[in-house]
Amino acid sequence: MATQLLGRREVLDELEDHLRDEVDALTRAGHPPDEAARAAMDRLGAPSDLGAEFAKVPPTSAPWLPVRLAWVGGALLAASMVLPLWPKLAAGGLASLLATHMGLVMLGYVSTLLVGFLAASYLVARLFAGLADGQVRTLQRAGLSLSALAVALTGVGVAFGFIFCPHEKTGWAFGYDTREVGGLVVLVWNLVMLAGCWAGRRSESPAAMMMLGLVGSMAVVLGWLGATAVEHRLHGAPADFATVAAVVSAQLAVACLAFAPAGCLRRAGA
Amino acid sequence: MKLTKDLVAASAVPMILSILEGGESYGYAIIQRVKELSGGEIEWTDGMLYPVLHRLEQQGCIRSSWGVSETGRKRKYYVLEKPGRAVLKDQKEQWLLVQATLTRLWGAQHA
Repeated sequence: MATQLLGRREVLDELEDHLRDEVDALTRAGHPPDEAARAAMDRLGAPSDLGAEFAKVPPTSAPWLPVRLAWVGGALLAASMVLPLWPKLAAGGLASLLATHMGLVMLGYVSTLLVGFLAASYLVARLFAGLADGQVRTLQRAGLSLSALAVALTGVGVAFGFIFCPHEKTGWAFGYDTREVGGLVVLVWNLVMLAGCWAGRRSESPAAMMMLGLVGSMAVVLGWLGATAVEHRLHGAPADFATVAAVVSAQLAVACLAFAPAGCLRRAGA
Repeated sequence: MKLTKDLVAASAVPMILSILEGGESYGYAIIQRVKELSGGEIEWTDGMLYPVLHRLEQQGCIRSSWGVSETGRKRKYYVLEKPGRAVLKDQKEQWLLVQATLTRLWGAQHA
């Protein structure tokens, strides 16, 4: 029955509670424990019949606030990062291919960071009441969609940097600028993240998918802010490694929440 | 008495909604209430109640929440929602009509 109800953790929990109530009642009535357990399983019905009935009632997605925040906040963040490029482009201060490259890569990074945001939200939520089955499905769909968006945007953006921007007389990958190499590393991780999200899109727990997302957001911080700091240092300018270290440390601290027992902060009776 | 599968299926929804109209309950308690009210004559295959409860929840007739039982186990409780009250009212009218019609028919046949 557990196989037939894979991904329906709440259903299994509910049926287990029912079985335990039935076994308790039969035991109180004088039945030996193993006889009570057998009788309770018989009364529950054949697992194949139960699985077939539940297959007719597929779990629906349920709204989860962090996913809504990710889409709305992400759109606003993306607009705030990309729109300032437009006046520079219009004034002729920014080459069109370069602007396209920068805009696409930034949007790809935002998508990756949003998967990291969902991962952090999930790791915090699991310490409390956790997510309902429907909310897990919403989270898995959002993780998959954002990963695909991250791959597409970062991929096309990096391609612009490596293939088309040499036409801007900057050389291949802007002379192998650290930030371009960082972008390539982020793209590779985004592909790994997308593969993981696709493989885990129907699994019972989104934990593995979310850890990939959290590592992806660390890759963005290192590949973007970290690479920028390295580039500044290489050119003798002040480099802010402290901010990079602080952000990555905070992300690692959030990742450590995965080792805490689920529900450890749940209120008694909730 | 063994009811036909169709009659069990048809009567399950009004029974569940009527029991929940009396207050919050959970799966096992609902089954025991039906057994008690029918004098043990109506016995559901226990597991089949749960897909019906999930379908009713998807339709918005009832709402579930997780609580803790007296023994400290996780337990899912259900309450009747406003759309469920409307469905129950409709079901009551239909069943009372069927009952009244059959009562007149069988009463007339025995007269």
